[in-house]
Amino acid sequence: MRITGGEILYLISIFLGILIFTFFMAIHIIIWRVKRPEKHITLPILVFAIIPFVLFLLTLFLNLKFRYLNTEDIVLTWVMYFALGLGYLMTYPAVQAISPSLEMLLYIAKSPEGLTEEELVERFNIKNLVEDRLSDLEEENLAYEKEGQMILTSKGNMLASFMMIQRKIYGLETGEG
Amino acid sequence: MSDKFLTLGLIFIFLFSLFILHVLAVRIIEKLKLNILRQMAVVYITSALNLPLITTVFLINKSISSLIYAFIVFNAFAYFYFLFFNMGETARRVKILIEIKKGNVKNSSNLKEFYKEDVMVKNRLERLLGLNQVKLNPNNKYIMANRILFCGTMFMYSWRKVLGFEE
Repeated sequence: MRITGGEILYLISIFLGILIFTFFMAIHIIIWRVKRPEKHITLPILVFAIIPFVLFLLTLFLNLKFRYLNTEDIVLTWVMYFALGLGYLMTYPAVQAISPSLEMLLYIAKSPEGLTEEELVERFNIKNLVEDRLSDLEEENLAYEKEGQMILTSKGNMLASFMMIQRKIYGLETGEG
Repeated sequence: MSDKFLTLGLIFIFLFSLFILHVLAVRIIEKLKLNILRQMAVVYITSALNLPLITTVFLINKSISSLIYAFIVFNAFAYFYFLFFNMGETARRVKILIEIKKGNVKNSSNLKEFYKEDVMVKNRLERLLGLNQVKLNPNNKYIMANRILFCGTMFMYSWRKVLGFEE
């Protein structure tokens, strides 16, 4: 099969999409190592979704004005980026707040003779399972406690409503968490 | 329409099909009480959709790089969808938000009554069993069944170090 122009352009889109993803990943690592942000949800969304989306629109707009590239190649490149970037964004929460499931796997892997359910329960407590996550919600301005009552902010309310609709689409009750 | 936009359109049609098929699959699993993990349904449907997608992409473009492109983009978005669905199933922060909204969780003390360590561990062990990552040995102890998710776990811990998280 000979190499055609179309073949090369797909390869360029793949390469550039990965390059853009690497660029934003580098930004992410630098920011986190200099001063890890408290807003564990907002800042990754800004770095991997919002800023890239603005840049995507900007490159499209500039291309429509100056026609320096094929529009379809720009779109292909950015779609490749967003496929990788959004995938990482959804992975990040499990990196930031160590998933208990993955932690459990680690304990089991370190015990060749195996662990009972009771032995696994002893390794977890409400602080590391839940209280730390509550702090995350407060830091992200999704919920707060006032006069002994937990209250959702409008942002928290929107997210909760969205996830409840998600569950309804599948005909499911609230997840077990 | 150019071949490239047609290819992109096809990828998104297949992604939408993944969503619709998964919604149907989950409803069937729940209705018939099938012993299939809802998350695994995403994996099965994604695997099944790969072949028709890349076949169609190849017929349109007649190029290997278009296959590579379609394969990476489709599976990366499918991975995003898997995690998005899993968030509704297992994310503690999402559950806390929803239970606050429903009025079941009124304050941080009430939260401790609502969440029990043993229930949370049991639920997760059931999922790990369903994903075939752990199994029970003859002594009724949990042992590793395969290492796929474990490799993912090791990667997560390494990545945390790269990002400067404490141990």
